[in-house]
Order: sequence, then C-alpha cells, then structure tokens
Amino acid sequence: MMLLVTIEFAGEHEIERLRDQLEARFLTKVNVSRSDFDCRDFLDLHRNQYSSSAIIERLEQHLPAAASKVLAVTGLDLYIPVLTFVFGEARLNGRCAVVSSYRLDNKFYGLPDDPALLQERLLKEAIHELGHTYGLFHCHNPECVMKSSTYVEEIDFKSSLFCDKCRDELVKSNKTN
Amino acid sequence: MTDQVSMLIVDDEPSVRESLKHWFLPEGYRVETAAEAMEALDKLRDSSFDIVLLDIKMPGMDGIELQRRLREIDSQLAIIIMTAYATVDTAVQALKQGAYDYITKPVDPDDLSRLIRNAAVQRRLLRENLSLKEEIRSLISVDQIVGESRQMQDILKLIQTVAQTDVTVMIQGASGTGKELVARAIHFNSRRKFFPLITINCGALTDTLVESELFGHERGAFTGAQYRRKGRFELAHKGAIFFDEIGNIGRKTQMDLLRVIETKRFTRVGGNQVVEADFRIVSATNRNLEDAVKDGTFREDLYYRLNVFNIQLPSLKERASDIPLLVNHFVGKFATAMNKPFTGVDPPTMEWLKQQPWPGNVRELQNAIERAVVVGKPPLITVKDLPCPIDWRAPSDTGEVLSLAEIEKRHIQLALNKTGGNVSLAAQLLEVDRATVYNKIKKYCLGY
Repeated sequence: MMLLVTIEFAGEHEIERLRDQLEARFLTKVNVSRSDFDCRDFLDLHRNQYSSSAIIERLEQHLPAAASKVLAVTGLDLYIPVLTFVFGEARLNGRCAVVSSYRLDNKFYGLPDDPALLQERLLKEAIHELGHTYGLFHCHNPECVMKSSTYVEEIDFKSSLFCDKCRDELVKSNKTN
Repeated sequence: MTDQVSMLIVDDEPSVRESLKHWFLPEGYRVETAAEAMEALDKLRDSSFDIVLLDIKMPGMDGIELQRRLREIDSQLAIIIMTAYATVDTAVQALKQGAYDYITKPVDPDDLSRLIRNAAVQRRLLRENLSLKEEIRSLISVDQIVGESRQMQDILKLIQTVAQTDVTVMIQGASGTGKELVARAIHFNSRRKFFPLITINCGALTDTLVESELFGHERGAFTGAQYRRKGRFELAHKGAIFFDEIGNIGRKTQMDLLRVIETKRFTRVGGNQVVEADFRIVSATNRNLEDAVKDGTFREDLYYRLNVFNIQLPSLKERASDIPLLVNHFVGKFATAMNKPFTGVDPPTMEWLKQQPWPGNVRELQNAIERAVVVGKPPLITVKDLPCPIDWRAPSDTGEVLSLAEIEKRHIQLALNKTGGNVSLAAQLLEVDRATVYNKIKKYCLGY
C-alpha cells in the first residue's frame, strides 16, 4: 500500500485524480490522508519557504507500518539550504518523498491557470520522486520521467512514463522489496 | 577505474550537508560529507574525489585555506566554493587559489546541476588526458628498441642524448634497420612528445604536389582547392616532422625545404599571410647522401642543415648477436597478437636464423617470424615454418644474378635435402607432381 499525505494542499479533486493515476502506474493500492503537521516547523522565516528535508524527516518519524511508500503532496514552496527551490525531494531507496505544486502551477509564472497542465506536472513529479524511493537514479533519456528537471519546461518536455531501462530497474527493485 | 562521479561536501551546517547529499545521490554520484576541515582532509587522504563543494566559512580553518590544503593532496581536484555573501575579493581569492568556480547560496538548481556536470566532465577529461600521456610514454620508450649488442647500446644512448635537445637529426641505415622506430623514439622521448609527429614519405612527394602538401593552401588557390588546408609544417607546430627517405626529394622540393628550415616561416599556396611554425626536423635515408651531394643530385647546403646530428644504424648482419633477442621478441609479439601459444624457436632453427644474411634487415626477420607464427604449430617454430626464399638467397648476396634455371635447380635440391631425398615429399613441398620432380632431377643431374 502507498500513502499520499497532503500538507497544506487545497486541491481535493487533484489529489483524488493523482491517487487513481498512481494506483494505475504502480499497480498498488493508494490511500490518501491529511497530515496534522504544524508547517511552521518547516518554515524558514527569512526565505519564506519550507524545508523539504525537514518534511521528509518528519514523515520518516511517523511512518505507518502498512505503507510501503509515503508521498507528501503540498502546496508549500519547498527549498533545501543551498538551492533557491526544489520541486520535490525523496530518499533514494527509502520510503518517503515530498512534491510541491507551488512552482508547478502556471499562476506562479504569471501565466493563465491551466489545471490540466498542473495535474500532468504533479503526476510526473510524483512518479519521479517515488521512482527515487525505488532506487532509480536520474535518467539521461530526455523523455523518461526519471530525467532530472530543474525548471518546469523540462517537466513539460518529458513524459510521465519510465523508459525501458528504468522500468526494468523498477521491476527488479519491486521484486527485491 | 569507475566512471561514477565522486563528491565531497564540506560544510559545518548539518542541514546543508545532508540536503545536498540527498539532492546529489539520485544523480548516481558517490557523495560523502565532512563537517569540518580536518575531517575533509582525512577523507581526501583516504579516498579519491572528483569534486569538492566547500563552504568558505568554516570554524577553525576557512575555505580558502582548506582549499589550499586539499590541493596539496590532489592538485586535479575540482573545488567549488560556496559562499553566503559573495564579495569580489573572496571570489577572486578562491579562483586565484585554483577553485573551479564559486556559488552564492542559495543557487538556482539548474545552475548548480550544470556547474557540477561541467566540473565532472573537466575532471574526467583531465584524467583521460593524464592516462593518454602515460600511454604515450609507454607507447614508445627507448627500451622498446630491441638490442643488446654494443652497436645498439651506443645508439640507444645517442637517442636519449639527442631527444632532450631540439637538434636536427639525420638517421642513416639500410632498408629495414628501424629508422622510423628511432625517429619515433627520439620524438616520444623529447619535450615535444605531446605534440604531433608528422611523417612525410618523401618518395611519395612529387614536385607538383609538394607545395600544397607541405605549406597548405588557401581556398581557391587552385582548381579543386575548395577549403583552406593546413600543410604538414603547420600541422607539426610544437611537434616534429619526420622526412622518411629524404634522399628521394626532387631539386625544387630541396630548395623549398631549405628555405623553411632556415626561417621556420612560409606562406600557404595562394595566400599572403606568413605562417610561423615551431617544429623539430628528423630525417632518414638509406642512400649515401654524401655521394648524392658529390654527384649533384642533393643540395650540399640542405645536406648540412639536415645532418646536424647523425645516427648510423647497423645492418642486422652487423649486429647478428641481437638476432636471438629479436626473434624471441617477435615470436612473443605475434604469438600474443594471433593468440597462439608459441614459446620460441627450436635450437637448430635459431642457429640457422643467426647464419642468414638478412639483406632486408630487421623488417625481413620480423616478416619471416610473423609468417612462421601463422603457418607453424606451437610451441616451437621450426625451419620449415620459415619462408623458403631466404634459404637460397645466400648465393645472390654476393651480387651475382642467377638464371631462373639455376634458381630452380637449387630450389629443387633444397627440397630434396629437406625431405631426405624423398621425391614424393619434395613434390608436395614444391606443390608439383612427382613426375615433374623426377624430370627436373634428370634435367639438372641432381643427387638424392
């Protein structure tokens, strides 16, 4: 079972859609729950951003035994100390990951609202971070979902699918786990 | 050596170290962290890293000083300085100390990714460059010229002496004595070894082609000159140029060559721009150039320009004591190349090889052994594996030209000797029928 934990994420319809999509992709049951974390614990007042690493640490401290993977989905703007922002973060070969919709939303860039595009980007980033938890590295195939993306145009360019090599790795990882 | 990029993150702030580590791990990098300077130095002593991400402000030792100490351990390290408040002074200081680059925290993820990728590529290229240089060093060391005879030992000393200088060298020796090998040994043991050695076979140069070949040409210089082309002198810049069979060049080329050797300046065909090139000249010939100078076919002034340092290579006959060493060297070389388990030649064959005149010198010996490795049966090469012609060549070594009939007679006699007078086996060796052999025995009155 996979668990989707929402943290300050308003889109109920989007999270349900994401759950269905992840269930179809990872062929596992996906449950959704809302976190009761106090987000101020993750806030850097100076930057007005939230630490993705701190969120992951908190998730790791509250892991439900039944969940093989836990993905936090948040509307908060995430960062790690050296970088200006991150779309998400995951523990390689771990159980926890987090993705943010904050910079996936067209509105952030002053562009017209595009809910379908936001959903697509959120799906790609969710699959990407979950892929890391299955031990997948960044992929050089430009269309593979595991290709590293440091800006939204790169997310739009790649597909939401694993390339053959990454899919094989994922299958292997699933078998060993 | 693995292609995995290795990175050391040095920062006293745990959140910086850990978050960067987790950010880089999915790239497939090997990532380690250090909280302070001494730990970083210890880790670098214990293990090799490609890239160090280094915070400029550290307790105990600042990043600039730590960078200097890290470089003492590994001078090729790509160090990226991280600073919260970049000032021109710190940036300049870091770069002056040899930092690959510096970043101001926080940095855009895309910028950091690109910076790390470029640093990794640079580090890989540096490593490749070093390993290629090593390969060049091992490619042709003086030790690879095989020979323990006094003559060859003297030549090896000459090569080592002259290689360290920029002196123009002329190598003289009969065909197959290894003139090109010596030229390569001189170049690859000189300070010019990492620059090209351009070989020109003068026998193939015609006076009509020579100018564009040596000096290059501009676009449109002549029909068919669609692009500017660099000549051999330009290509040899900082390296050396080897004129093989220099005795074969025509009068016009001799004049062109003389001019360039004197000035090291020339213009491309069809151009006005004067090109300067820095090259060393090594030439080789199997002709007696002094005679050529005397009879006027080779310019005297060019001869003296080229013959500043002369190396005379002995014929194989003159250094026959090297034959066993050369034979074993070639057997080993070709056995490895052809994956055949030859260990050497049998003792009578070695004696026989030592007695041959080898007019084609080392090249002929090499070819004979190569052929024997192809046709022979391991582990030892025997006389019958060696090419036949060298067996009956000795009489003609006197300069006498034999008639075809005489050659045929001697060759059939040789076959009969080898087979102990067995006509059937001799016919098989000669690839003719028995009747032919009997007829020839009768014709030439051969004994068997």
